[in-house]
Amino acid sequence: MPKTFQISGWLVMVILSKSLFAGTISNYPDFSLKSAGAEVFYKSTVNVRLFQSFGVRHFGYDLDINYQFRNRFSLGVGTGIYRNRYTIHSASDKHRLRLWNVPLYVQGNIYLYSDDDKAYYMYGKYGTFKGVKTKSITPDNSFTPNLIEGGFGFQVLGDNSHLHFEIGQYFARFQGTATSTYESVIDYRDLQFYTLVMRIGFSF
Amino acid sequence: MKTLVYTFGLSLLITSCVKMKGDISMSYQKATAIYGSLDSLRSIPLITEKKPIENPKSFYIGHNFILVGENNKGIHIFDNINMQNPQKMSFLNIPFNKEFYVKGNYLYAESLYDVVKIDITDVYNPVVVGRATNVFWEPLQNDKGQHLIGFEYITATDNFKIGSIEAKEIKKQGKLHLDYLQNVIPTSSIPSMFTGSYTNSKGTMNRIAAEYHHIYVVSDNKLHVIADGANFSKVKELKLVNGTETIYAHNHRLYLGSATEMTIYKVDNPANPVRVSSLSHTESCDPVLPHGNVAYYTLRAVENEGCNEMGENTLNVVNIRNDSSPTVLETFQLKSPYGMTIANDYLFVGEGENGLTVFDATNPKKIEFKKEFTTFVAFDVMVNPFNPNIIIVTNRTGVQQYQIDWNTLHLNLVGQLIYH
Repeated sequence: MPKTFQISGWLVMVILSKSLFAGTISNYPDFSLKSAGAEVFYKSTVNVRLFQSFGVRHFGYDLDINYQFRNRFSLGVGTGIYRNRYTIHSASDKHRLRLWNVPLYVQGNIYLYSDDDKAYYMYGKYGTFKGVKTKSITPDNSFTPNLIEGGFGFQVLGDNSHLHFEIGQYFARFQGTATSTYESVIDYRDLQFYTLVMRIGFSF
Repeated sequence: MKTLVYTFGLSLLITSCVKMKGDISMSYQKATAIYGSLDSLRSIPLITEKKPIENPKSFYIGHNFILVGENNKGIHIFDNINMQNPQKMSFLNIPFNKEFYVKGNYLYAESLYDVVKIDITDVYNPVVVGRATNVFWEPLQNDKGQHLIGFEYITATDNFKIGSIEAKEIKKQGKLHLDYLQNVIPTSSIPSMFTGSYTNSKGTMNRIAAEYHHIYVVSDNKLHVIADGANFSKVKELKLVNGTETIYAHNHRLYLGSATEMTIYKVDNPANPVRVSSLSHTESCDPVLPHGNVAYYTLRAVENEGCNEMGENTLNVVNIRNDSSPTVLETFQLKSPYGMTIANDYLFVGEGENGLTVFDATNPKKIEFKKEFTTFVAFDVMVNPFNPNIIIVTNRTGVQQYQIDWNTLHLNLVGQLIYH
């Protein structure tokens, strides 16, 4: 199911980017300012980004909205749907924790370098998430889960949309209880997922 | 060089950034080591009174007798003179036995760390004539010099740090093995006879072969070679691919079936098998039956049997004329193949709950489906070596003996042994 979900999700993203985002991308470097020796050379504007992420024991989709300042910084908020997993044998069976969750985070980018067709940037995000109760896990609502991520991005500047590749370190902490197939209780306390994530996405 | 550095750097980055932390409270199998005297275990009287069958495993049919393996305990002996009503006669005490093999008048059986050779010329008065000690493992000892002879299992609930040695061990199999100091014994250091990770073995799914004056035993992904002469002792140990389950000796070759490949070893020097080739397949359980210039192997993908559920259920015919380059000639879709046998140019395949399937193998390179029997359950199948008109099938309830009409392939039930 996750593979089907990932492939279909990716197809939806591609179709969306091709059909809906055929406008002029707005967070494009303004080289007239740059050639004039200005330190600020981005058009200040709002842009929306769609991402799919992959990692060890992790995949997800992100949708974020950012305000691009005229300097190198952008700031925004994002949400999405993630899945983290963890497998352990209990006394009687193999328990697979599949933590579906809906994150809500703030994020910022710092552009390190831009030219007329590409840009490099650093990003960071911090937020919380709501764990979804499933057959495999019941989230502990007394615990506030959180997530932190930071990394580097590469942006290909196109006419209608920008293509992004990102690599970063993802961290999330969570708490919950599971019941294995044979009624064995598994209590996950302050479970911390560390993984390297790779993202591919579009901004428009 | 640059590529190597980048690859190493990237690997380091990835492995250092991917981890789990936290606490986990869960139930697990806590296994505490039991130590004792190996000498007293080895000197247990071989023959005892008959016992009830509790957990049958391997079986063998001999001249007027049937042997049924009792998992971990020994072998039941049945008088089969009256096939319609085989009589339980006595029991062979072979502690920790999971697999045995009969060749001529001798029975070879695993027993804890050893392989035992038993003369069954008179099956009701068997005699131990050889014991190769510590074939499978060098026994672990406690501070009193006693040897590890088992584990006591209880279900316990405890709290662990994820990433701790304990949690890592439990993550593998849900078990934690502790020595006399309550230190963790890694699963990799424990013979599989204790951990219960042996696969079910029946018929063509044997893990023991006795040929060329040597005994070959597959265990813990190793091939143990024992000289079967005046000096009955281990002479060689070879590492095998992970998941090796079965062995079959034929024409100075050993055919080993693993979860991922069929491997051929030549035994021109029987004490020193040399790998010749392998044939990879999708991950499934796979017994091998060589016959003439072909080998039949089945792949099974059945849920809850340790097989890959996403694998395939097929019968494959492999050309082994050039055994350095085996090639698949034909593949047949089956439902759930287990053991096989060949007799009178017919190939019989036990299909578990799906019965028994028969192929005409007159032309081994182009076998033809002939018949299927779906009214009984057949895991393993063999021909009575002392009566070629009797086909024997085994299942969880017992052993069935069928008289076969070779013209019509009609099977007539002439006897059965019900385990319980």
